[in-house]
Amino acid sequence: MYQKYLTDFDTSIQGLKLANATDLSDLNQYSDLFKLTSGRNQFEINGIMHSIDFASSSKISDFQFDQKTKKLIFSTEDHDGINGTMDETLLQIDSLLKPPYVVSVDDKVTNDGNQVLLINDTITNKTFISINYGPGRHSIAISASEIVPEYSGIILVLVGALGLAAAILVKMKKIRN
Amino acid sequence: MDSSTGKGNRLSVNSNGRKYKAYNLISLSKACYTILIVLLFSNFALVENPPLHLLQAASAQPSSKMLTYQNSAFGITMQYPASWNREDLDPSSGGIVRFSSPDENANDTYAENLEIHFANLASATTLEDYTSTLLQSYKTSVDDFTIISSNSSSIAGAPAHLLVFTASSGEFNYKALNMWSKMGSNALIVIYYAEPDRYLTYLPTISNMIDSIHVQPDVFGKPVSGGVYTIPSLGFEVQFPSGWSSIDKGTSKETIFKGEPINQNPNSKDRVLLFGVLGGHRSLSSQFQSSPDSDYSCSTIHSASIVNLNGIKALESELKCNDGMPMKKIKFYMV
Repeated sequence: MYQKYLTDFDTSIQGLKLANATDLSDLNQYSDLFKLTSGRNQFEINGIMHSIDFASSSKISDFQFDQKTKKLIFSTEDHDGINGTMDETLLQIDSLLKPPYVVSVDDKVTNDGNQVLLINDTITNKTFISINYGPGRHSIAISASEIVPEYSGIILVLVGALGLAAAILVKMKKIRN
Repeated sequence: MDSSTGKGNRLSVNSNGRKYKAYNLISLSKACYTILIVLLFSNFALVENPPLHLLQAASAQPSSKMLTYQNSAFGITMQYPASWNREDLDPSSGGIVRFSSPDENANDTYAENLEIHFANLASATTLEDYTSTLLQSYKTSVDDFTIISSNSSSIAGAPAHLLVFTASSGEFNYKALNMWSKMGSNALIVIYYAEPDRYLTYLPTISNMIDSIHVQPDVFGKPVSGGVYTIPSLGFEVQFPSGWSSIDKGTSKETIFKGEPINQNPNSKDRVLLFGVLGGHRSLSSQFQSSPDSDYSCSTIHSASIVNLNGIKALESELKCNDGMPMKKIKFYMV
């Protein structure tokens, strides 16, 4: 019966209107909504720069990436030491690691859906991981079995080489003329 | 009864600045929103049976011209005095129409009025069930609720219940006549509010109005089906499925659309499309599940997807609930 009426639901939802809807694909809008501070960390892996965008309600520090264990580690700390509220850190994890992910908070692996939520953005094809935790200082680790292949460095080299070749050709043409 | 205390019927002010009682369907819904009522009204005068000389005195007054009120959406027609003010009520709150008496003099601050409402009732609920639930609700939620009479009656040939009571709202005391009946999947509720000392004055007119009510059962008794649900303050609008009916939970901005009337088949599961404005981050969620109980336990979300719904980015997830059935949940956030 669920399946029978699911089409009705989907059709209904597809036509809805809502003023001032947040663009969840936009990390900045998401950050504004939840009053998170966004940032970017970069790592050099095999001579190639990788970056990871994040937004957090905590102070983030000690970003490290262990290439051998394919583990991203960072620390979180309350802003102003406010207790009693849950904090959240959201990372665009797929820019660095491929799923599946294992998340540890203070060295304890968590499978609690209230603590870790994997968000697949079907619009931008980005994958975010949302980690929620209580007040205080925490060490968070996200590990995966594979690092995202990064071609940007190679592409930059190729583009640079092509540009150089084109410049040489133009220069040679000018010399001939 | 005071709307600020969430009790019973409220005292409101119309566009002319005169007060009238407004039937608070939401407070009824809180007590028994799963019940459907159809109210048909007839032979009213036989039940209330005011003193004959008062009726004769009323009849002796110049007979005012009567107009016909017709509501094709609900299949209702009735007569009302041309001198009375007619005000259409918000159907999303169960309202249909209100007729308010004209000023008697410059000092007349209260407009005696007759209101007609509708409500959804469970198909398995009998008139007696609903009467019992409604009376209990009045006793607990209406200030100074005192029953004058409570009798069986009928409206347009359909069984009904007639209740006459007195109550108060703050410092305002009033007397009311309330009738309800069940017809098909919907309910018709008629209620007449008056200052206690003016109650009998308008009773003949009210009696005539009620006696003139004609309801097309095949139109009125149909479940509210399809239509647009809106939350204007949020700019929210959705067309809910044809064949589905809506139930406003009343106490919060939550509305459930059901695929089938509740309890039509006790073994069947209702389809639920729930919209609710949640606290905190100004989020609006909708969810679809196969149980009539929107609060039952479902698994925690481990993964979700951001999807594009008519240009709106929403968070979509599917959960498993404690009866083994899935629930699809979609959450929107507002800036």
